[in-house]
Amino acid sequence: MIDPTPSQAPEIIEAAAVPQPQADYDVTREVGYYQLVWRRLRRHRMAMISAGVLVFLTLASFIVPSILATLAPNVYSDTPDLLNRFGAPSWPHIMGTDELGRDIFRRILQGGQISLMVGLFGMMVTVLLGGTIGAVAGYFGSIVDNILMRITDAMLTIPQIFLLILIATAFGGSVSPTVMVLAIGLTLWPYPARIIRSVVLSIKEKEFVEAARAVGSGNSKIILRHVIPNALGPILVAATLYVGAAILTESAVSYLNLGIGPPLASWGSMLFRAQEFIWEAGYYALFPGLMILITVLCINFMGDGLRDAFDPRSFDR
Amino acid sequence: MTGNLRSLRLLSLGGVAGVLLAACAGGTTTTTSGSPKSGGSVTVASWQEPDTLLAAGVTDSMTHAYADVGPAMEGLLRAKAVVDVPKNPKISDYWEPQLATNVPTVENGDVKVNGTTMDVTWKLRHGVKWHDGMPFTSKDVKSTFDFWWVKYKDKNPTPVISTSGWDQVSGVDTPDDFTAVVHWKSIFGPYIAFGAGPYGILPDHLLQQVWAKSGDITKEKLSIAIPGGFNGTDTWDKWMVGTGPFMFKEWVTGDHLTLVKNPHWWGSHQPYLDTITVKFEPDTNTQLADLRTNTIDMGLDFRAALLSPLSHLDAVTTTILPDSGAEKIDLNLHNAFLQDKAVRQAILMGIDRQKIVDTLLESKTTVPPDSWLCLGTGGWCQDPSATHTKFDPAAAQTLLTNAGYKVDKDKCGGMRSSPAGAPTNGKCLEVKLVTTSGNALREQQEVVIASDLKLIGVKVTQPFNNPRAGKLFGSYSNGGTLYTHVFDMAMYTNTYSGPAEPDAFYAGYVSSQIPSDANQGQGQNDTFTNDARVDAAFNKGRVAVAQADRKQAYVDAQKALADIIPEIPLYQQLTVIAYNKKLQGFKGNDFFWMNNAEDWYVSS
Amino acid sequence: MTKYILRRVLQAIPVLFVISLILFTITQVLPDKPWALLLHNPRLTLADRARILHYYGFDQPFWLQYFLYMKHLLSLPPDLGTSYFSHQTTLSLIRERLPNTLVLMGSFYIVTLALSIPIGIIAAVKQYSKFDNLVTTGAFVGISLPNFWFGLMLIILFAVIPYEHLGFKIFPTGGMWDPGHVGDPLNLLWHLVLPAIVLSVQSIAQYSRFMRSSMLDVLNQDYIRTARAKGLAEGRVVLRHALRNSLLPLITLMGIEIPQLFVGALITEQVFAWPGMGRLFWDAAQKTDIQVLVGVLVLLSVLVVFGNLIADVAYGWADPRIQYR
Repeated sequence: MIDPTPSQAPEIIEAAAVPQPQADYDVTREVGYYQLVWRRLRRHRMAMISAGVLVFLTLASFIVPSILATLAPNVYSDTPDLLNRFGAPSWPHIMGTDELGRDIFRRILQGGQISLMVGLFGMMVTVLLGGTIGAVAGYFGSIVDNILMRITDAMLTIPQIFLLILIATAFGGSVSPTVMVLAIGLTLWPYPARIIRSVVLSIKEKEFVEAARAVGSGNSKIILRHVIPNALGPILVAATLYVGAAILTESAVSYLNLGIGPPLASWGSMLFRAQEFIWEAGYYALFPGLMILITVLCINFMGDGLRDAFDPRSFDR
Repeated sequence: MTGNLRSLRLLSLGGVAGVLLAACAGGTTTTTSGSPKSGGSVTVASWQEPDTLLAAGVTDSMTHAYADVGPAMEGLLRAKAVVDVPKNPKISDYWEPQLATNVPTVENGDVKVNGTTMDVTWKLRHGVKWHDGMPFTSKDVKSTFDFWWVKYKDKNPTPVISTSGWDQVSGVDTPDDFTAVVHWKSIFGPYIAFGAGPYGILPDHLLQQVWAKSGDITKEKLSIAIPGGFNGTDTWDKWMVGTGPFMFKEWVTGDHLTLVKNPHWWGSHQPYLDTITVKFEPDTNTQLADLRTNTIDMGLDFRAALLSPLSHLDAVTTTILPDSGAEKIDLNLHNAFLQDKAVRQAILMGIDRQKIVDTLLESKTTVPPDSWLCLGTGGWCQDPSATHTKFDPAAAQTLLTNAGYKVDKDKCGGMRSSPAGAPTNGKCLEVKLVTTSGNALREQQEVVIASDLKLIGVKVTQPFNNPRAGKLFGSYSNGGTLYTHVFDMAMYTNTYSGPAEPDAFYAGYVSSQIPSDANQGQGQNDTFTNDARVDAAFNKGRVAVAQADRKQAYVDAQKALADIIPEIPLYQQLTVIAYNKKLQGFKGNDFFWMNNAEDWYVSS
Repeated sequence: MTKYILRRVLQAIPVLFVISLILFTITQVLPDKPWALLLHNPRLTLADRARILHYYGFDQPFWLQYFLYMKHLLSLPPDLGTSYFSHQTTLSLIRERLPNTLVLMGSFYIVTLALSIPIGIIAAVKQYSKFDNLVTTGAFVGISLPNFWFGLMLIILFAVIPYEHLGFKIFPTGGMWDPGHVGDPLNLLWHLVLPAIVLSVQSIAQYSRFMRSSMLDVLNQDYIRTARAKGLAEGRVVLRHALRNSLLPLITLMGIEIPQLFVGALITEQVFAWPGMGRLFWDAAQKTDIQVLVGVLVLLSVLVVFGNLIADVAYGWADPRIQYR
């Protein structure tokens, strides 16, 4: 599993930065912060390639299955075709057919819808939940901070997938994508909570926040107007990584037979099923695994690029 | 983990607690070449590790557990291997004597009916010793029956899976060391299985030790010394002392269980093998790989999906045992749509069951008649004029149209809408289907059935939202899916708890067994089957001992059930066992997979 | 030092307390209650249900149940509950499985450290070389790899395909021992290879990146420059002077990584049928055996807390610059 703790992921990502020694910003022209970030991001070749791949994968997952079903309904449909089970990859089934004779290529793309959605929404729940808790803890400090951080520490101590299994188990059967998203959010939130708390702590002491307070701005206004925009960089970087973490987590839980049930499929649950048929159709297990690998890899490269782009140290160069 | 959770198939159903056995139409192949050799060891893989060795009907009811303890634990009778059951068998032909010397029947005078009660006399084998050296006597028989019922009634501190049937025993007399007479309060047709099968008889001297303490055999630790086998102190579920050809040596949880040869076994020849190791491999794919690479010699209970890869293995013999039960879909008769018989019949006609058998099950089994009450070892009571409804989507469509269910493009997206008026009042015809989650074969069947039913205009809700086996089969008091009736259609396998005994389904069909608050949640009648003909037939089958009477009762039950259609039987369930060809002497048995381990040997 | 350790232990107590509260609350809030298994038998009547719930105290208010739960947990020996399936205490189930998981984790540390330290050093010394870039890419692939899938592919590659074509398997498909070889260390080692690879592959990537940057930090420090200025050979500078200090951050990483390691072990054990804690947990999950699930989680959390503590203490022991107060 990818560990989304800031303790390692950023370390790798920082170290993995493609060296960019030349100064790229012209002191004579005024350039906005985000323009600068975007400029640096564009320079990160792997991040840009990855972004392209991800956009392509997303579009393909959400558009291609229905196009295929419209163009050639006899070849590509959700209806089982029991006389064509486990067909080896060939035209028109470029990835072969599955245990019910359905086209694996199309199933993979459909599975991508679930996996990508779970990744995206899982991240959102994680960041919203963790962000809120972290921001509240950091901003209010003292007892609130103490209590929230003890809970965060405790949650970080419990091995994450174990907790997720405990939660999934108590639902008594196959899990719907919504439950999966919530469960992922419930187990991943401590990671962003810690990051955001530390960001808030550092920003809180800055002059502009004190100035805002002096002018009489309320807590919520200060948080919304000043703290969040300034925390955006680290949050964005972490959020990107959590999409990958959520996809890997979902696939692991589905692989452990506690995940999303039929006829829906995520890449993880396809892998769980493909494992059953490794003898009839070894290729079947290959593709979902490859898809997870490629997607998460691209997301991690994106996170890397964003980190470099937001890293204030890299502006100095 | 490969899905095959079928062994959670409610062995507790009829209550014949500790037994098992053979099927009629045997697909068993036994290749024998050369004469048996002594020595050698065999490794058997099982995908399901038992939670306790007190398996057989005491605290657990898994078929795998029966297999694991089979070579060590014996009963008064044992289930015959499939190939040894004669043609046109009687109920007693499914059994052979083990610790008893003959099978008691009315004909041989060992079963005596006195008015409304009956006595069964068991004549016991001489010279049998428990693994720890104590002699086997009629005391053991008496204590076993005491343990189940007489001593505790229904307050046994040891969690007993089922006391049904045992509650008809009034006491056991032991006129001498080798005769035990069981007194029954009623005339009880299924008497034969009580005390039979693995764990059929428990050792009196150990039961006495437990009774001297709390009486809970899952809590009290005993010190056990099996010469050459297990030595130690632990609760009963961590070891076992039996009389069988193999003795328990060790159980490394999560990994394996070892049985060693019993040199003092009572049989006509010593067991040929030195050791049998049961290796727990949760994934049958791993088992298949290990079978290929000679790491294991036998794999128990393969999924039907593995039949084709198995057939490519030259060095492996595959045995397919038809079970005495069926994979089926229960229909909730209180569901607004399903309470209409036309809908149930249309569903029965609208599912291409033969295609499922021919593809997903590789044509290795058959589609049963409309009532599947007497399959496999139940062949003796099969209705000779049973109806077999064929796949006929056109007729199903006509049936639904005539019953007022019209195809509705606008409102129901091309599916059917129900006729106006109560109870469905024009709603779109849509039902939910559930099965045990994570079971690959069942989840395939689910998709296929939903797609078949769509073609006759019946919508099956998707995604399916399947519960896990534990939830599906959970008790009424615990909100189990089946017994609290919170399903429309539920797909799973049900099979006899003992060979040749349809009384196993008494609690599944009789109207008093519909679990509800009013009856304190008793019974397993999940479909709400409530029919006087069914009730009368099952009650008649239970209190008769003459086979002809019992057969007539169950034929009546089949006719009534085929008429009601509370279930859609899909196919006769099957058990697949595969083993290396160098292993000889294996004889299959659908309830009890390691039944004749003393005859197994390894050829060079 | 003793004072420091004592203080850290005292600090760990509230964390463990919060963990127990979280886990206990989860079991109460979720749809399947902790007593589900006690009511598993389909023959139980409603009266049985009431009797059983009362017997086990499940009819009492939440806070009282938690109090009793903690009382059992803190008694000696601790009572982590009893499996209603196997009738064994969670503690005895864990006692059977924990050593097997520790074997797996031990092999993880050996493989990971033995590979990642040299890789990290080389990558640092040859910064921006082809090797360095390869390690960078490898690290990304490593953290993105679904390890269950990787394990599956290894089984096909090293057991199934060789046996089909060569007649022997290079490594077994799973399990811990072959029957008849229980206790044979060579047999264990043979079974350990593939699981150890799967468990380590992500961490090798992470640890070598970590090692690389930590080594780069140290190499930029003044005392190394001094050593170089004095004309010491580069190899000697790296191995003698820089290595020790650059290893220090790894100790902290190893501490932080423990929860992830348990997660990796769960999946590896599942893929390779390894009879460890992860399998115990997964089996319990399949049966909704919540007593075992929670018991295992409590114990793992304790192990994690104390693993971190040990890492901290070891860090101080290895780095004389750190002072404990």
